[in-house]
Amino acid sequence: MSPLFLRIWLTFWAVLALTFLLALGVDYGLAVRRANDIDRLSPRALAASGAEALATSGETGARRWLLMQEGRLPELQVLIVAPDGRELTGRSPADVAQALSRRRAGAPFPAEVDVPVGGQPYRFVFRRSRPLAFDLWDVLLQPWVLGGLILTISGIGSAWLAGSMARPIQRLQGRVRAIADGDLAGRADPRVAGRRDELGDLARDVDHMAARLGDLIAAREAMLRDVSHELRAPLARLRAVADLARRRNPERDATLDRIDKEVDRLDDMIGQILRFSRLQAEVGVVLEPVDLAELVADAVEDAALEAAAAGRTVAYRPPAAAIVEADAALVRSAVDNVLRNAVRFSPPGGTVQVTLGAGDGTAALEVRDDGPGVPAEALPHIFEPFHGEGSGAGLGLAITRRVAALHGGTVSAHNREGGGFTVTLTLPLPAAPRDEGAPPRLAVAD
Amino acid sequence: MSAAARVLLVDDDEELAGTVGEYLREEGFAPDWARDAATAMRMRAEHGYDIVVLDVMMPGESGLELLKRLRRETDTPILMLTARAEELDKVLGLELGADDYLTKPFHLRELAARLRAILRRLNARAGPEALGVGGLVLHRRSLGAEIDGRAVRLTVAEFMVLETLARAAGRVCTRADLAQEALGRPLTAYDRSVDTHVSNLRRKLGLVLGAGLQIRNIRNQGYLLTEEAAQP
Repeated sequence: MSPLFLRIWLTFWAVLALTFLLALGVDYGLAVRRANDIDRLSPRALAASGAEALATSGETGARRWLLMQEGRLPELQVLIVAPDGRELTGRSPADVAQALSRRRAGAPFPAEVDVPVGGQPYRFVFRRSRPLAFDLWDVLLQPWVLGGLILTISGIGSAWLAGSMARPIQRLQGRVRAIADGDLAGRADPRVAGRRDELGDLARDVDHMAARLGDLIAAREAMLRDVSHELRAPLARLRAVADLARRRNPERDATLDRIDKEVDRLDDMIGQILRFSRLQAEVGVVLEPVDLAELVADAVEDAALEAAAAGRTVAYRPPAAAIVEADAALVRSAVDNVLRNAVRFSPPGGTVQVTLGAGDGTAALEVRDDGPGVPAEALPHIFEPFHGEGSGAGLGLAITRRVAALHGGTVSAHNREGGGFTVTLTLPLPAAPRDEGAPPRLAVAD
Repeated sequence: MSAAARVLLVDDDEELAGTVGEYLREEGFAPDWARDAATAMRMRAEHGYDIVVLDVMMPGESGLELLKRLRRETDTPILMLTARAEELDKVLGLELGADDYLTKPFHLRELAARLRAILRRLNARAGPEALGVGGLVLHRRSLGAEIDGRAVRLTVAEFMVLETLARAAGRVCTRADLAQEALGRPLTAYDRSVDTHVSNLRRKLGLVLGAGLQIRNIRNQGYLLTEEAAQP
């Protein structure tokens, strides 16, 4: 049961039940007061008034008087027993006897008054009157039965009301969560969106919002692509012209090389900005089982090629397998960035050490280089975009951190004592589906 | 080169095309330029070219779409130009039958070298005309491949990769070897061309394979064409 459902349900239930019980109490109070009013009547005076009717108009007059009496005081029933034992309205003697049997000490009713009319002894019997369905009401009016009924009916009613309000909100919530997870194309549950009330309006607004978001993101993607294309076009021209110039004036090579280097940097920067802004949008992240050991092996293979060209080496001993739930392309770019950085800051002839291990539900990739490291005051900022590390756009490690965060992992860096720099990237391992005694998922191969 | 190789350059960037054309002309090629897909299709149909250089990031009809259409009509080698960040374009382009790719901004001397490498593979080939392994026969002059007598259509790059594997049948070819031998250039970092060509070959050969041939991936080493029965 949702908290909202409980809240609405209990509130309505309490209000309904209290209202009913209060009404019942008031009604009961009124009934008590009327009963007390009857108690103030004098049986003797009433009987005298009846006897007068009997004396002037005979038994017919007495019956008329009884009808009048019933209309005036419905709470009080009057029986008149003739001298021969007949009850004037035709009730049986047993009924009369039963009426009198419930007499209690101190209470004025039931009561009997004998009045001689024309020398004949007539008996007036007074008792509290009861409605026809007397027995059923008697049961219903027991406080616990009535209270139980009120609680049950108001409970069911308010549960229905609460459900009718909470359910569409829950359905809508499912849709909103799907939007948060990047599903912008879906639509709200028609059971909500089809309602002709405020909740239906809200559902349609949510759909509208999702569609708008989708348009905006698509426009943004298109713009990024266009920007990339537009910025790269002049770069490509610049490089082509430089190449043509080099071909025609081979002696200007060194100057042209500098142009080349800047073209490379700009191109790199454009690529990184594009990748980073896509990551920020968090759209299109696809998690699937990925063998981190193999992914790192591929990345190391490429980094080693690049390193070899610069006179550095990369060493990696892959473990058997480390399966993580990840977006392979993103994790690959995260690993690439760390490796590239390490290779770039390695001294000539240096070796980048790459190790992959697992424990405590995480896989940890450690990349160690023998470079100068990072000044302590700059260390906390190296994973921020454009941290001013000098060469490059400085987005590489920011991308790595973003990718790690998207996967629920971390990335950290520290200067090693005695020189060198270590970057550690961790990714959560999926919870082992086997029992606790399961063997570790990561075993180092020989 | 006896006659200048005819190159069709398809790129919407007129200035770049001009510079590239100038450079290629000075390098002994005969370049033509088409601004868009429609022009490219028409010019190719009219003149025929030895090789096509295609920018797959053109606006309008996508370059990849044009690549697909060109491939349906001709086996002319295609070198595609792509952006570095668009990893998907590269893989897709190679899968659609491009023989090689360069990322923009590229070096013109690299472009000329790639073009020469592809053309050299087309023109001059030493050794016997036909090469057979198991049920596979490669015709080195016509670049045709047959398996058990059934022809398989391959791009120039795919043919060269398969030929390299076939010549070394039973021995492992490293990815670096394959890049050098079949694509005519050294393997560079972050280059998946060889792997994509191999996976294309597997797909195409798999359709008609029955000769007990398979291309195996030896991890951290390279690829191997073997006659062993397929592994369980």
